[in-house]
Amino acid sequence: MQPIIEVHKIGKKFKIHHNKQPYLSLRDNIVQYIKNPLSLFQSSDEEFWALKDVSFNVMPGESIGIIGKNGAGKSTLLKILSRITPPSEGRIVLRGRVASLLEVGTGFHPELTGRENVYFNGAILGMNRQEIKKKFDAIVDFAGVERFIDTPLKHYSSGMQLRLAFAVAAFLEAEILVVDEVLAVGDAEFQKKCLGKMEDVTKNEGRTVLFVSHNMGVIKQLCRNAILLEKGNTKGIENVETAISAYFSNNLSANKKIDRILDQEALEKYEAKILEVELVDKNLLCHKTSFYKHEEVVIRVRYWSNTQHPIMVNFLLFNEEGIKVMIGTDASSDFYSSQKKMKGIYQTDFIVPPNFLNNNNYFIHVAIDSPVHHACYDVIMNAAMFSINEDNSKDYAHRGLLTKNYPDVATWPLINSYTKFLE
Amino acid sequence: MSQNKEFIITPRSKFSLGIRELVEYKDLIYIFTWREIKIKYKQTIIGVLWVVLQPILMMLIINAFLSNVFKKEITQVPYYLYVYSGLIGWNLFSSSANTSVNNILTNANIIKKIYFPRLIIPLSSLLSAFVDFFISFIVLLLFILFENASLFLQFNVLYWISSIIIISLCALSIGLYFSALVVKYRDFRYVLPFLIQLLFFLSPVIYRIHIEHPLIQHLLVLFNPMVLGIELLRTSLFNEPLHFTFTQLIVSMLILLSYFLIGLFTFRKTEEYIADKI
Repeated sequence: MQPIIEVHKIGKKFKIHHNKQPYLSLRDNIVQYIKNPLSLFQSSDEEFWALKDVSFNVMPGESIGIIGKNGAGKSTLLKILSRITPPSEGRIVLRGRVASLLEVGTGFHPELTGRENVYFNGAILGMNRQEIKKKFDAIVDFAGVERFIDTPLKHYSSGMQLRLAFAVAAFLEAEILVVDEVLAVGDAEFQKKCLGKMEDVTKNEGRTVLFVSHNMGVIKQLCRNAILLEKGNTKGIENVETAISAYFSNNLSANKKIDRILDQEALEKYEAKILEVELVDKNLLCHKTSFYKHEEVVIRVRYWSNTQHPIMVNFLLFNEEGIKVMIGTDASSDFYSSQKKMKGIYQTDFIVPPNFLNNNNYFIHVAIDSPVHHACYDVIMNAAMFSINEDNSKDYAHRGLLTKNYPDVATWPLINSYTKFLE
Repeated sequence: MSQNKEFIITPRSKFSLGIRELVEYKDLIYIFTWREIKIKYKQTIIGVLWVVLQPILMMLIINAFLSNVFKKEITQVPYYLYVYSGLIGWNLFSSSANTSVNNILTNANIIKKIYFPRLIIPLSSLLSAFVDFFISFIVLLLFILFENASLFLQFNVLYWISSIIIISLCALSIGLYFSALVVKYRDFRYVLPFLIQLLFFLSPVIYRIHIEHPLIQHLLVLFNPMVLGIELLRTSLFNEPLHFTFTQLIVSMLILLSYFLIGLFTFRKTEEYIADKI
């Protein structure tokens, strides 16, 4: 059997304009040419390869997850596959129609009715009029907007708009579906419905799906294989588990600690600045990124403060599924009178309680802000990552005989339970 | 799976026009046009009546202020009919070119997210302008019915069709060229209305092209193909002479063709990076 998608040494080059505006204004260019007439002939633009030497084959009926950090080239790859932007080099053979759901609801117009929007949206996604007519009722039914179908879209709630948009997309007949984070929309119930529909599309209808998401839980659920993109490169198709764990281990090693120590002079410019975020083992006092469930996770933040206002250090912890698990601050009851009045470098240890988090990978954002002035002095997104693992040695296996994992549950604390025999 | 079409994606070749692809996407051209028309008159109280009113009001204004100046040159046709027939041809040109440039920008988020031949946008702008044109044309026929038209009326289908083709090509040339420019430089969005206004006075919409200075007339006739378009439209309806020699006719058409090709190739070249840049 021939592969349905053959990607051969695809590369995409962008030029980075050293020019902050999103679009060029003629005036700027003319001014530049007058100042420096030679610049007409020499390009000051820097080249940047968003993708380089990307090759893989996908067989019909496969569903492939595409994972990678922001800026790794996922969206560019999808844009090339859906022909929105041409590659700079390489060759792709597609043996089927591609429908891209890079964003649901593209082209919806608020003045048009639901019905009119379904026709337009369906058409730009590649359905012809007969197809749309045939599926119209099913689409409206799936979205659950029968009563409002002849009302202008501007009177719809945002949830209704999203449902309608996804419904159109879900009924496309293309052999290849390219999906980017569509499931991050709508309420929980509708998300479940979407997920069900996606599973249906891949498993029962046998269509080929390329699926981009930051939600590893969803990727695992929908795809058996995945492509891990790193700085525009990939090793090709791997088993989904392998790819996901490679993704995390790469990120973990890259994020050992954020080292932003600046010299004293540079620091004076800031009111407050985070210098370093690391995870330490409480007993060994060494750096660590993998913890057992029964261990305390210590999040150590070093920062500079040079402000008269009370400042608050806080962190947000979220897991692979993107669920925000907990926040923590160093604010205490005597917050306004206490500490941090002196200029200098401080260190705060946050202790995440043991036997609390579920087995998962966790990411930390750290921020310094002032609760009085509602000012945020510094934020580091994804400052650190760690994993919580089960220690299967007998002493700590508080889950007992339960071997099933519940990755979508944020915490799994050690609960005190008392049982007594009654009769 | 074997009956499925193969798509091959490679870096873009320089000299394809993508016409065959347009045929494949004919449904989308239709639906873009249909949407354009719907959106235009939604939320207006009198809706489509505006199509009828716009050129009539314009004609009344011009008739009130300028009829004394230009009337004497025009002998048989009543001045208001002379102006109105010019205006509807002119509106086909100007509204198509303007809409095309605006639609490239207003549809930016669709362009960034979904592939379709980008030529559909200027094309559907032209087609939606055609709807206005035909409605206004029916009104023109009603005007003629009320006049004692036998004095000046003559209908020439061949002229009529070629005038529409020429006006469409003019609209597409400017529409394509400016749509391409506006992707890169937003400035051209503001340049276009001025250019169109200038061309309005350089085309025989409200006056008859009969200038004493032969060189100016010659240049105008050759380099502004809208002169030919408007004149042809009028000649197709009224007993009005065509101010063109045979050589002028041929050269003017060749110049129009080159305008169109410049517009088309500029647009095709921009199309390549439009999703990255817009």
